[in-house]
Amino acid sequence: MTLLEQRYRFVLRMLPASYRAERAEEMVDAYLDSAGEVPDEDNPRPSWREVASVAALAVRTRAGGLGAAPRYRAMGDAVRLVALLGLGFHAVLGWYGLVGTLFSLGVVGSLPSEFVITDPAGQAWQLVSAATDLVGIAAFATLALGRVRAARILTYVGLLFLGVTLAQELFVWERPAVDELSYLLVTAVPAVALLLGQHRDAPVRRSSLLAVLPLGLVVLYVAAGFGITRDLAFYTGAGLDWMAGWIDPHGLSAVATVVAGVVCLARKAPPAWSLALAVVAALLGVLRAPVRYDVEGVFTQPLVATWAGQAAGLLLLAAALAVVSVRALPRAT
Amino acid sequence: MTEPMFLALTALLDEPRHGYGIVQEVERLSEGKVQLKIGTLYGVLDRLAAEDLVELDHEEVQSGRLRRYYRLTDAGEGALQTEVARLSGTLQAATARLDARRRAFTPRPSAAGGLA
Repeated sequence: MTLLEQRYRFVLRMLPASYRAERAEEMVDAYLDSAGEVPDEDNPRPSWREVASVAALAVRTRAGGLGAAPRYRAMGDAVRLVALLGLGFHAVLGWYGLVGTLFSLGVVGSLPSEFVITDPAGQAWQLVSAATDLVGIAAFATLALGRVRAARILTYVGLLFLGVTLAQELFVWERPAVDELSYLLVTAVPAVALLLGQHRDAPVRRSSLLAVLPLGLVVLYVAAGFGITRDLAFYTGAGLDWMAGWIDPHGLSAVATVVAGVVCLARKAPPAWSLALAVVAALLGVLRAPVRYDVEGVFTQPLVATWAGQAAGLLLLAAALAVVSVRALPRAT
Repeated sequence: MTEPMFLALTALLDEPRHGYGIVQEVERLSEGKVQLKIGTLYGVLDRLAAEDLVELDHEEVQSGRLRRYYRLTDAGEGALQTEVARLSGTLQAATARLDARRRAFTPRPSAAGGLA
């Protein structure tokens, strides 16, 4: 075996074992034919383009789309679902932020004092924040409408903005950016899932209804009297600190995830759903972990205990869903 | 249908070919513009085989290496025909518009015979 063949076979190890068993020999044959005779003395290596093509094939094979083996199709569907749910979460937060901005500007009603921003720098920041909200909303809507490339670009723009915010927290204000770090994780994982899952062979689905679903949820949320017009002090004053941890958007997302996860476990849902929910539950668990930087010292003990309970519950659920879904995945053929 | 899929199907029209044979033919057909890498080629072949547009013709062992030949199926020929018809329609529309544009911008001889 020549040095080039050895190295190309090493590159092929990126592919799943079942795929290699089926395809590796003919791929090696085709590659060596295309590379021609190269003596070992020249220390030959597969070009980066060849390596990249195998890496892309490895991703497409594992995050399977149309025509993929059932195991890899389920994994691919799970990856795409993580992207959809993750972007959906950010779209809900985006609409919620925009509604908050409308309240803040007095367009749709009045706000408790903590939301009213009079400082010009704060107002500028609020505009930037509204732009980010719009990016999150548009990223999900474009994905729901089957415009994957646009969704990808918008998601990376949102990620870039978050990276800048994180750098600002760390280096300009010299604050421990724990909130931003966990939020960055919750943004980055769906972005990576979008990159890996939505390849050429991925099935494309279009739904206008899904595109506006986050807005519908936020309208329901605000109409029900949650958030926006009631700040944390409202609940603390009423001795209901713990409740604030359940009815904010993150708390309700945690509740929805737990309900969906329990239904998945009880009804033996398709492994793609359980696997995707395991990832979502883990991400929300990290987001809910009570390590947030309390700038104004307003987080009371009952509220922190609520967060801790939610984080523990979500992480436990994530572990259970992961075990169940991995066991339920079809075997590689 | 993507360009590599279209070219790979076209490469199999005249005879069954093995992996590197398809790479060479695609390069010839595209006048050197499309040089399929092996990972890309097998991604394309996986997709075409999953849609029953190509199938295994036969296997050979040459110099101890496995070589698989692929052939176009009837469904593959049909898909190629549909794609060619679509592309031909686009080409005709583009040609007609180019002609119309050329006619619109061609300077007309002046009725007064121009300036003296």
